[in-house]
Amino acid sequence: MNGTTQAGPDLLPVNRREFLKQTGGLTFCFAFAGFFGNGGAHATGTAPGAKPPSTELNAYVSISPDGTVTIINPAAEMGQGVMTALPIIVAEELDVEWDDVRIESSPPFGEVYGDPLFFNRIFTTSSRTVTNYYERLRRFGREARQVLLEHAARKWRVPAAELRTAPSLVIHDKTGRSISYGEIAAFADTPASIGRIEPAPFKAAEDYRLVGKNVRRRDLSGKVTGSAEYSMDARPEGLVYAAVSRAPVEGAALRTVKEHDARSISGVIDVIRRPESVSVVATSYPIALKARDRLEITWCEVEAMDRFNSDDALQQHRSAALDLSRNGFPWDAQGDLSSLANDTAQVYSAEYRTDYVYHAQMEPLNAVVSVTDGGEKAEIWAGTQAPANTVEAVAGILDIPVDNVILNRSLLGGGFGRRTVPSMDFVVDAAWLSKVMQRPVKVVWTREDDLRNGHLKPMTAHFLRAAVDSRGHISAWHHRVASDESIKLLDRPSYEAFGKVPVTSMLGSSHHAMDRTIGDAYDLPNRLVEHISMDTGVRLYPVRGVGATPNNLAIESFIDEIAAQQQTDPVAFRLRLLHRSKRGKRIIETVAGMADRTRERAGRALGIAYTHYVDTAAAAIAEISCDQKQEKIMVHRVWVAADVGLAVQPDNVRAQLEGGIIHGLGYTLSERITIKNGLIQQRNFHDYSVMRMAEAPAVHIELLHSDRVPTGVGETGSILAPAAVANAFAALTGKRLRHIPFTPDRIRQALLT
Amino acid sequence: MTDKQAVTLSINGDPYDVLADTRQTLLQVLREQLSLTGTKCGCNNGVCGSCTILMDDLPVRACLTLAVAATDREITTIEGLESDGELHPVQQAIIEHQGMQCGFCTPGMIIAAKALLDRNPDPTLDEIRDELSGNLCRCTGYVKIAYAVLSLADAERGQN
Repeated sequence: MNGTTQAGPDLLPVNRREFLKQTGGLTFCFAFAGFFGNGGAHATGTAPGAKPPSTELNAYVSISPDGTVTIINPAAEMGQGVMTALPIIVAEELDVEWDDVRIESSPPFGEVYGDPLFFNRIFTTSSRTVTNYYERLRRFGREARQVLLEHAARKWRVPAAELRTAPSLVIHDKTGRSISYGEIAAFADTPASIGRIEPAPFKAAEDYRLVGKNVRRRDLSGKVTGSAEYSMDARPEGLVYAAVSRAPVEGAALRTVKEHDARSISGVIDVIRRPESVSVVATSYPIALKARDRLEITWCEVEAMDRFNSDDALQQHRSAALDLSRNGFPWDAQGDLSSLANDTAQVYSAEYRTDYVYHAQMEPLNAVVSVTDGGEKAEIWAGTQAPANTVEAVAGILDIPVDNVILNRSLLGGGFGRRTVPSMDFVVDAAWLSKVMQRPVKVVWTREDDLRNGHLKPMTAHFLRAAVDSRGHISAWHHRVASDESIKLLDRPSYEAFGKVPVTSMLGSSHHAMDRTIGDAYDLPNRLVEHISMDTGVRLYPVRGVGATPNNLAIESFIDEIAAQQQTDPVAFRLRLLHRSKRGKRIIETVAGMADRTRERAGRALGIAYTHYVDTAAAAIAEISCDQKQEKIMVHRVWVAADVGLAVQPDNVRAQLEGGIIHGLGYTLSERITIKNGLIQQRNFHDYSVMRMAEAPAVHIELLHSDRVPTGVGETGSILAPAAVANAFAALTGKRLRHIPFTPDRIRQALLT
Repeated sequence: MTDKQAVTLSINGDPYDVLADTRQTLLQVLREQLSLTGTKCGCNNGVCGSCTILMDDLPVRACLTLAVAATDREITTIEGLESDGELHPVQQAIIEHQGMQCGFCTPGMIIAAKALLDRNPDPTLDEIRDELSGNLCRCTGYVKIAYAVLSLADAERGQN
């Protein structure tokens, strides 16, 4: 069935063409008892378990006669709560008792499960999951409910319009009859006889029982008992273990391997080479690691990379940003910049920089693959944000059809973008090795491997100029971003599909909404926001916050600098820039009120930052102090106000903002990758420091409710934190920090200026 | 010559006979030999806390502990916290406060929090923040975890 199905084409909804139009090519699929299971070959691997035969009402809902309602979750659960938030949207419109609901992962393919933004493939990234699935899931829930109503109407020979639902029940008030969803599922076997159904209206927001009500996440109990299974915990029969050394820089090929010392260790089964890797397979993981340490490996040099140093690269990025003779890609252009040359205008300029950053998900990447049937079939256990990429990568390396690959979609011990990389470098080695060994193989990266094989968030250099007219309005805004585009090298298909533009680099840099309306953007009528493309060859990929983290540091720091030059309060200055957005102004006013800005704080100061990334209007204020002897910033409290539209799971929205702020404070204060001679210098968490509990501030969050479609929240906190801290530091010391992370040496230098 | 040694480990109240390499860590034995996979491996270097377990009620890093050095000690892992099918209060509080996201650090965090409360039943928020700082969490922002543990302090439960 896999999404493009055939059965009962006239069944639902009546206005199919309209439906298709609204859902971007989504087709509705139908199968009734006798067609249960997930149908197509791609449905394999969803571990149906033992359940009574179900009536599959559509691609997202099936109901078994015992009343169990199975709702499909297409997105990757990596702690952000989607395996609960998405099914809730279906369950609300279906009007089902939440305790009756069982959640199952979708197959890896099928456009009905894919995200329209990502060409109808499942791609759990970019803060978009709830936004992009919301409308579709409501419809599936509503249509499934209508099918149940029609079946009850047919059974009782009454008009469907006389029926209503209560959770998991269809009720006919006139005759006082009721029937459970499970009872209907038991006889729902003649779909064609139902005929056409007019789409009913959606449930009114005031009738919601689940949406907006903090339903407990389904993934919690297994996680506190240790029974939740990550791919790292999978142990199929006959498992052997592999430690893999991969090429240290992109494109490097294996030159020589001395493997005698490794093979002499008891328990080592084989040493296996590929052009881009050497693997030791052993009866246990410790033996595999020990043997790998004894390999002597040399790699062919990759000319561009072997002398690559991040310090030099940053200088090149800066020069490119500053060189106005070098035109960039115009990402957001409107009006003209003539007032930059106007004698009566005050012209300001500034530079900002960011370093490479690593994903640092807590679970080091790993996968288990079992290749069987003489190399013709494969079963994968992996935590992936892009299941189709995973299946295709494994099918590709084994040279078998994707239909022969089963994916068990494991829980993810964090993702932050790393588990979308199309090469699926952490999965394919296990597949290849399993084919050679003819038994299941588990590949686990050490933390050192995870860093060495890191796909980094690009470094960036920004040069900004602005003209301010005699009335204090910004009459020209010029923002130049020099960076690698993070998907250009290693996700060519996406790069090309998005039109070969710097799509991840420039997120968060435009001064309009996603649909190009004004939205909640600052009023900057004359602007040029451009990207200067750097092509370093470093392994890169989007990391939480993507380009929006550096772009927001630059924009919000510069706005503060201009406000200071204009002797205007930074909050008042932003309110004026947001004069077209009621919502934006409300956000700024709310967060200012929460932080009680006017109160004196001895030795401490506040800084603000605002963003409208993915159309979520949000602002943060950070309260910091600085230990000038230790050259260290302490962040004491952070206040966040956000309007995310309809908050499907409000507590979860708060959790995302909270975690995002702490993640962003890591970017702000300590997280930094350096590269020397092409090699990542950091080894483990002792020299790649993420924020620890004692350093983490209290985070106070206020959600401003609205009935707009839910907007994204996964990255917002990580985008706001750097500029809020930089602006607080300027308020505290009168000095400007321009380069995250704000390490002791950078703090010292700033204080000396 | 073999460098394997037969050892008996007492884990969650049960004896386990294992044949361990003398250099094998307790974490490896728990996860690979005994299938007690609730204890996680995040860094294998003692810096992330994901593998925190109790040895004689003290929190230790299983990745830095040799299995052969764990004989004659009472070992508690995350799998041993439930009693009579009831979650331990720390487990319950972490659920109530939604003090987790991806859950990978959660077993180690819960064990570290239990050890703290066993030693100091009435910790302040700052004491909790300091004591749990050896356990990294990349997702939550820590606030909900700290408040979950604080909710179990005597002062919060009105038991002073």
